Amino acid sequence: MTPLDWLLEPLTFDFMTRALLVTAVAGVTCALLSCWLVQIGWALMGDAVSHAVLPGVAVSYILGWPFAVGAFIFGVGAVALIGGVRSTTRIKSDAAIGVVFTSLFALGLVIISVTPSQTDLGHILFGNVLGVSDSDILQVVVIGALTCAVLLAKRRDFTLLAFDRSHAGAIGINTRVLSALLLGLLALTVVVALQAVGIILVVAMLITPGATASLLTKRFERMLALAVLVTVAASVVGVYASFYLDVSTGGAVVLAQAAAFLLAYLFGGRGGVVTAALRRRRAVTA
Amino acid sequence: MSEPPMIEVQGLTVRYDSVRALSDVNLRLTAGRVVGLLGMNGSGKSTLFGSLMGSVRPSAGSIRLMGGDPGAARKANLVSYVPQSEAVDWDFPVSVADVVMMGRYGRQGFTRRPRPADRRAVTDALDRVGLADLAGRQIGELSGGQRKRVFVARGIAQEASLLLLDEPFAGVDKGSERTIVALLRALADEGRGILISTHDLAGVPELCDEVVLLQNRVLFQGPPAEALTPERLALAFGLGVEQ
Repeated sequence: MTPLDWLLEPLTFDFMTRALLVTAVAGVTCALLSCWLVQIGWALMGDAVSHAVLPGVAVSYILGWPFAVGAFIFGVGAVALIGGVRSTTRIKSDAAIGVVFTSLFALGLVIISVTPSQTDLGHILFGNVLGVSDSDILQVVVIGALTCAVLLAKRRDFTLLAFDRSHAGAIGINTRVLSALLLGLLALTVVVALQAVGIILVVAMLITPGATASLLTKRFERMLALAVLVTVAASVVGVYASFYLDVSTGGAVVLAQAAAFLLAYLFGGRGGVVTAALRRRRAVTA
Repeated sequence: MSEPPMIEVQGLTVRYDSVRALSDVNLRLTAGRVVGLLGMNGSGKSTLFGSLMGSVRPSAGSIRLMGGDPGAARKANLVSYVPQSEAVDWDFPVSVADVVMMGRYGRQGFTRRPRPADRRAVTDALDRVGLADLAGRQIGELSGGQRKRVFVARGIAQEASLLLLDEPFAGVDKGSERTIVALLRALADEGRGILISTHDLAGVPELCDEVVLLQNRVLFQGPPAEALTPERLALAFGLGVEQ
């Protein structure tokens, strides 16, 4: 088998091209959003929303709705609940997030356990990208494209929000509306990504690309591009690995992202520990 | 003078739960003047700034900026804010020019795509504060004084009439402080209004036309020479009136 065959053979299978498409769309959407989540410090918020959509997905399957509808309702609901708990009690932000998302996740588990249907908990939790249906693909592509379009169109506003909220307020930008928009896009992104890697690992897709890119550059626009690049590469590597090694697709994609993070951590221009050590050594000997 | 004051605060009171952060504060700032807001930590300086910026809701009293509604003044790009150092993430992946460009956002369209006029404004502002050579640097790579000048440049690029500076001299060495004082003085002489909060008294007589001593209420408002007397400072900085 030539290397080209090795690359092309998986593509002759319909389920593989679908898996690649879904993983790439989900990956790009997550990669863009992750840059702001990492810079604002909303990683835990990503974790929360991704877990909180479980009851929404379960209810959607039971009622025969598109999965995106239920997931989005519960994603936005979780954000609203967290905000509500935080602003009406003395409970700190991380505790409010923890209480809300674990409660919703538990609600999802209970709903699924009492539903004698063919809903497969494993597929929802860990993803089933090799078995996505046509309607699932349509949802992923449409919602993913819409989310990416809004993120890119308003990228300068989101960066300003992340960097200097007070200036945004000083020039008359409504920072509450802007925050709410970003959180709404987070809910949509989770909806897209859970098809690819499942609820448990969505949070990895929402954090790792941005964290990796932030080690590599000092410019936000470049950070966006690098996060997307790294994620697309990791998606392809992960899907192929799952094909040839017969391992979990979501797991393989996230592991490939983790490997990219490790490389950036060791050798990255901005934060690389090996690079920095070499530079110190060179500085000493020079 | 026919022009309304840039800042007119009357009877401003702000309560957090049961604590009174500000009590019946009156403040006026007219064009071309530099007013120094002096008080120790917890004296309500940040609350007063927050009220002017619309992020803190007053319990009582009124605020007028440029003679009108504060929200309208902010929307018209008339107000610029230089945050204190601790409030800024200096590792954030933005360059000096990126930050100054943020001053132009209020004048740009939906996506804030920079136009030639915006780029010119950024270049001019960086020239003005003497940071043209450092435009491409990541902001964390600058010294304390240079960092402050970046944010002042943002206000210049914004073409704001009113500059609010929160502790601009914290973490700034004496040489840089003189540069910043001269810059602010020149900006005021061109007709801008400047309100700075500080607990560093050294630069005050040279920079400020007027001083407000704040201790959750206004203890004194007047010329620096009259404000900086030992008795008044003792009152403002809590010797004997610790609460």
